Amino acid sequence: MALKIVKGSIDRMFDKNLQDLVRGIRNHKEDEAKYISTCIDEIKQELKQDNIAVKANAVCKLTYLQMLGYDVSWAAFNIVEVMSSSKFTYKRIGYLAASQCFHESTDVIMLTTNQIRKDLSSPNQYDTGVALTGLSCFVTPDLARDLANDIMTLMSHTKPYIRKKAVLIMYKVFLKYPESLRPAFPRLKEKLEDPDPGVQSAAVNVICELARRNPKNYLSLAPLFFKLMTSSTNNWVLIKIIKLFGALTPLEPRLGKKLIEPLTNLIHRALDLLYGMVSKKNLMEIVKKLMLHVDKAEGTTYRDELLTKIIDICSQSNYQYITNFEWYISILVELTRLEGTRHGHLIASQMLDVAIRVKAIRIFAVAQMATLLDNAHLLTGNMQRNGICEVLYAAAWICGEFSEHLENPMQTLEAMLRPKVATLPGHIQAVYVQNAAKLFSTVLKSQEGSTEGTAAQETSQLMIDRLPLFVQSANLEVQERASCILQLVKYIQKLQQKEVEVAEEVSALFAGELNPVAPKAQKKVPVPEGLDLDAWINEPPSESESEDEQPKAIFAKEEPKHSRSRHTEVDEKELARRREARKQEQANNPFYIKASPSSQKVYQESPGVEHIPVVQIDLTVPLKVPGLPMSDQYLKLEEERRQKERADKKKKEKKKRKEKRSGRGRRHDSGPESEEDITPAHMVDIVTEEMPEEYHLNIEPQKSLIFERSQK
Amino acid sequence: MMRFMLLFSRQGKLRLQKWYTATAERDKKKMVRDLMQIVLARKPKMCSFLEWRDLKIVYKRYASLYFCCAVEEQDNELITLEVIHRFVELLDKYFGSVCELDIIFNFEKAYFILDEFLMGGEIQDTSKKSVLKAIEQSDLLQEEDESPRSVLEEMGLA
Repeated sequence: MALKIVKGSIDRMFDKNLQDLVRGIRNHKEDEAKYISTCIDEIKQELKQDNIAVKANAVCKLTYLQMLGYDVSWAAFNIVEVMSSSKFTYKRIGYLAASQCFHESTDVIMLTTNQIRKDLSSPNQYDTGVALTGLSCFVTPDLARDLANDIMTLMSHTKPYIRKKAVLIMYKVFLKYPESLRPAFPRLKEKLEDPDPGVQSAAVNVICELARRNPKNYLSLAPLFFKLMTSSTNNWVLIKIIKLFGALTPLEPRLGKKLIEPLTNLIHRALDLLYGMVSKKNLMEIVKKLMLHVDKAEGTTYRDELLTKIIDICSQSNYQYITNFEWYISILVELTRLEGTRHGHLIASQMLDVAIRVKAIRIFAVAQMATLLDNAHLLTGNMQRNGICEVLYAAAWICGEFSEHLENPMQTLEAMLRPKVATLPGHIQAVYVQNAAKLFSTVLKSQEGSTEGTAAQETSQLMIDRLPLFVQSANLEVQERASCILQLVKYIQKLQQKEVEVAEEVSALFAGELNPVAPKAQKKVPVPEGLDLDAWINEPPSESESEDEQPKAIFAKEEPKHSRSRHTEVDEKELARRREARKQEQANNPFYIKASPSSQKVYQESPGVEHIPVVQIDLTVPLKVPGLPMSDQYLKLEEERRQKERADKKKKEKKKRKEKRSGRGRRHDSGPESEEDITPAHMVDIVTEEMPEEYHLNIEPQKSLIFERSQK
Repeated sequence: MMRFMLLFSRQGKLRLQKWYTATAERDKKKMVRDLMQIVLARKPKMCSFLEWRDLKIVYKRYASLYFCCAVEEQDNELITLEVIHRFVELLDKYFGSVCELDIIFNFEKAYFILDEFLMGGEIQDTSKKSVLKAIEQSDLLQEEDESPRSVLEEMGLA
C-alpha cells in the first residue's frame, strides 16, 4: 500500500504542467495526435488522484486541449470538483474550464448550483467575481431561476466590482428566465444613478439591450437617459444611449424633437472631424454620403450646415483634395437645387473660383451654367439675399466671360434677357446686363461671318427691344449698365445698317483675361520712380489757378507740408466756398456720376466707348484667393495629367463600361466621369499603423502584436 | 451582444476561443473551422466586416494573430473594432509588449483578462486602469494561495 503511494508520488513529480504540455505539443508537430492522446491518458490518471492541486493542473491542461478542438466533456464532474476547491487559483481554473465546455445538456450542471451560491456569498470579492463571470457563460434556465435572488442581492453589494458584474449578468439571467425581470427591475433602475461610473455604464448597457427588444416598457426611463446623455463624457455609454433613443423615438414623437439639439452637437463634432479625414481618394465618397444626408435632412439649418461643410472640405487647402473638377462643378450644381438655403453666395463664389482658376474645366462649367440660366425660373422662386438665386450671378458671369465655349450663345443670350430677370435682386441683374453685352459681342462675331447678314441685325434688334426694361430699373447699377449698353447697341445697329463690320471692335471691348487678384497684390505693386503718393495732385483751390497735371508733379517735400498746414487753418467760409466750387466742377464733368437718372445724355459719342472700363463687381462675394497666379499653372498641370490618365484608362475600360452600363441604374446629373475611379496624380500610401510592412507568411510568433504603438 | 471571440494564427491554429452563449461542441467546432477558413482567405485590403449566417463578423489582424468577433445584427461594428483593440491594449499592458507566444503559454491569463473586460458579451468596464487593477489583485490573491509549501506536501505525501 505504501509502495503504491510512493510510486504514485514519484509519478506526480513527473507530471506535466501546462507549460510542458504546450511545449511538448509544439515539439511533436508530426505526431501531434498521438502525443496528445498520450497526454489525455496521463490526464485521466491525474484526475483519479485525490490531490486537488493535481486535479486542477489536469483540468488546466484539458482546457488547453479543448481549445485545440478536443472534446473534454467526459471530465465534467472533475471540473465541478475543481470549482469547489477553496483555493482561488484552482477555483479559477475550474470556472474557466466550465465556461468553456459546459452547456445546457451537461448533466452535472445541477451540481454546481450550491457551489455557485456559496461562492456568490463569499467574503472574497474575487471568488464572487470569478463565479459570476463563469456563470454568465453557462447559465441555464434552471440555474437562472435558482440563483436570480442571490444575484439581485449582489447588485447592492458594497464593492462596485461586484455590483458591476452582478448588473451585467442580470441580462443573461433575464434572457434565460424572463420572470426574474419584474422583481429585479427597480434595483436595476437604481443602478442607473450609481456613483461608480462602471456600475452605471453596466446598468445603461443592460437596460439598453432590454429596451431594444421591448421598447414600450422603457419609455418612462427616457428623461433619465436624456440627462445621462447630456452629462456623460464616456463615449461608449453615449453610443449605447443613442442607440436606445433610436429604438424609442418611433414611439414617442416629442422625444425626437427634444433630441435634435444634443444630437446636432454630436453631429457637429463628427462633421468637424471630417476636415482631418479628407484625402484625395475618399473625398468624393465622403461628399457623396454627405449629399445623401442633405437629401434626407429635413431642417434647413442642418442642410445649410452640411452645405457649408461640403464646400469647406472641398475647398480646403486650395482644393488640394479634388482630383476631378468636373465632378466638383456638378456637385455645386446639385447643391443649387436645395431650397431655402442661406449660402447661395458661397456656392456662387465657389463656382466662380473654380471656373476662373481651372481653365480646363471651363467648357464643362460653361455648359452647366448655360443650363442653369435656361432653367432660371426654377431658382427665381427664392428672392432673399444670399438665397440660391445668387448662383445665377455666378452663372451669368461665367457664361459671359467664357462665352467662346458656349454651344448656343444665342439661346443663352435670350435666356439672360427674359423679362422675368427683372424680378431678381439688383446686383444679379447688373451682372446679367453686363454679361449680356459680352455674349452679344460673341454672337455678333459668329453671325457676321455667315452669309445671313440679317441675323446680326436681328440680334441687335433683340438687344434694343429688351434692354429698355432694365434701363427703367430701380437699381442704380442696373440702370447705368443697361443704358450704357443700349446706346452702344443702337450705335452698332446704325453701323450695321451701313454694312460696316463691327464685330471685331465690339469684341475688343472685352478683350483680355481676368485673373484672380491676390488681396495683397496692390501693396506689392512697386511705386514707380519719381512718384510721390503723398503729394497733392492739385493745389487746394485757394492756392492754384491752373490745373497742373504734368506727370512730373514732383512737389518739393516742404510744399506738401505747407499746403497741408495751410489747409487746416481754413475756416468755415473757405469750406463753403470750396464746396460750391466742387459742385460746379462736378456739374461740368461729363464723367461724374450723379444721383439723378439723367446720365443718358452722356453716352453719345462713340469714341467714349473704348474708354469704358469693364469692371467686375465683387463687393458681396469674397473670392477666396490666397494664392497668386502660380497655383493656376499647378492646377492646369494636374488637370492635364489627370485627363491624360483618364484618357488612357477610358480606352481600356470602354469595353467593361459597355457591359456594365445596363446595371448602372440611376445616375446623378453629374458628368460622365463622376463615378469613375480617378487615380490621384500620385500614389497615396495607405498606412495601416498596426501592421508591420513585411508580409511574410510565417511571421514569428515572437513578433509583438502592437508594434511601435505606445499606450493610447 | 457579442456571441463569441476567436483568436487564431495565420497558420490556422486556434489560440483562444470564448463563447458567450452555450453551444454544443460539435457546432462550436464547425463554426470555428468555417470562420477560420473565411477570414484567412481574405486579402489585406479587404474590409474588416463581413456577414456570416445571421451574425456580423468583425476581425482584425495584429502581427500574426487574427482577432475575430461575432456580434449580432444590431450591434455596431466599429465599436466592436474598438473592443478588440482595447483587449489587445490590455494584453499588451499586462504582458508587456505582448506577442503570440505569451498568449500560447499563458492562455489562462489571457482568458482571465478577457473575463474582466467582457462579460456576457457586453463590455464590463471601459476603464483600462480598473480592469488591470482587478487582474493584479486576483493575481496577488493567487500568489498568497501559493504560499511556500514543501515539495512533499505538493506531492501529497505529507
